Amino acid sequence: MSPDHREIRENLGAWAMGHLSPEEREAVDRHIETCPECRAEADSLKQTGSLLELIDPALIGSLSEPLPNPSPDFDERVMAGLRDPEARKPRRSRRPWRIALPATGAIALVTVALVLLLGGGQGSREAGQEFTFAALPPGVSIDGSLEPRATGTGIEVNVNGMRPGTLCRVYVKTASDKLEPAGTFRYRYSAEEHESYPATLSTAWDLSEIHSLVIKAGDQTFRTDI
Amino acid sequence: MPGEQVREAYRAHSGELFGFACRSLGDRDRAEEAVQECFLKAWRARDKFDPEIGSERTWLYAILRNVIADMGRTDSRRPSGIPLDDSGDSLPSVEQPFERAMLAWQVEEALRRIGERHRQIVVETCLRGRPYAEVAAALGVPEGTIKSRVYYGLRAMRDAMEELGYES
Ligand SMILES: [Zn+2]
Repeated sequence: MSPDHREIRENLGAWAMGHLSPEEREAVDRHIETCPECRAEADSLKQTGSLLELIDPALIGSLSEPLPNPSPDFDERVMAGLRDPEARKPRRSRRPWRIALPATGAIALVTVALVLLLGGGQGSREAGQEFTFAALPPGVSIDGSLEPRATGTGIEVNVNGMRPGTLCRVYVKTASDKLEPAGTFRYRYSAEEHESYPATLSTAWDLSEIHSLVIKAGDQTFRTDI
Repeated sequence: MPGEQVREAYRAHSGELFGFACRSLGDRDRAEEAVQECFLKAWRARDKFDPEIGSERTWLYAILRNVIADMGRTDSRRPSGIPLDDSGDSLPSVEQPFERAMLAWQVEEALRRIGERHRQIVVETCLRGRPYAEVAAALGVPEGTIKSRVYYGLRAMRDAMEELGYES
């Protein structure tokens, strides 16, 4: 590598960004005309430099700051869904699958709020608890289970018959009557498999503390007790 | 892909995917929803993953891309009350901005990866457009040093972009 070549090299970044003085730029231009190696490097750095235009100027100041983190129980919630699906199969096939509602907009475009009262007080709750909603619009079904975990409670919800894509927000209601968020899911339905997918969520509250389960999916309210 | 590999991929890439979802959706809750959906989809499709076609990371981004596009479609239709059906699945105008957003995210991620020293130089000279002499004075180094640092900073950027799966 000649000294000339080396000096040129270290100017290639500034050349690529158009930051050189006219004399310096000419020197680089002359060199890369005869040096394919530097030519390739210059072109490649120019392309890299042009990508910087994509950076939103408003973000420049925050590039050294850490990115936002998801909520503390997020990992647990996602990991819960990445389990052996065999464990969920029996429940999925327990009832015949209903076909999703036609696209009338009757259900999915409105918010759905579902309140499930879990027979407060009586009986033991050491084991998991199943629930089924009644009094739903035709074609819609919701059931699932609550499973005690080392910390809190796992919530599995099986929805059928809503419009695919409907956003459902799940809350638990405790003795304080306050709604505690337990996560969100979108109702998913596979047309190929004629199958809906269960949503797996969790809450930090113990099963014994949960009085009811609330699912909101818009501005319309469906309600059921068990 | 075995199930454990999906969980492993979650540990390795979920932070970055979440960051991208935040940038694209501008909302943490919705970003969580998107990443959760992405990994559920990945889980269900894990047997279809083919390392010959692309990396695990690229595969996950492709899934997330579709999830976010679907969320955009669903949400944009909601307020107007237009029913969701299969006939309106192609919204070509959405495609380009999305690709651009994804590339912008890769560039941002690359800038985060190159380390403070390189980043500082690239930010000050290339993004903020400060004169080399001014940056040199501020850092107490000769102007020529800034030039060579711009060179090494851009090289580091290029390497980081390659690591992130960018093909020029
Ligand atoms: Zn050369």
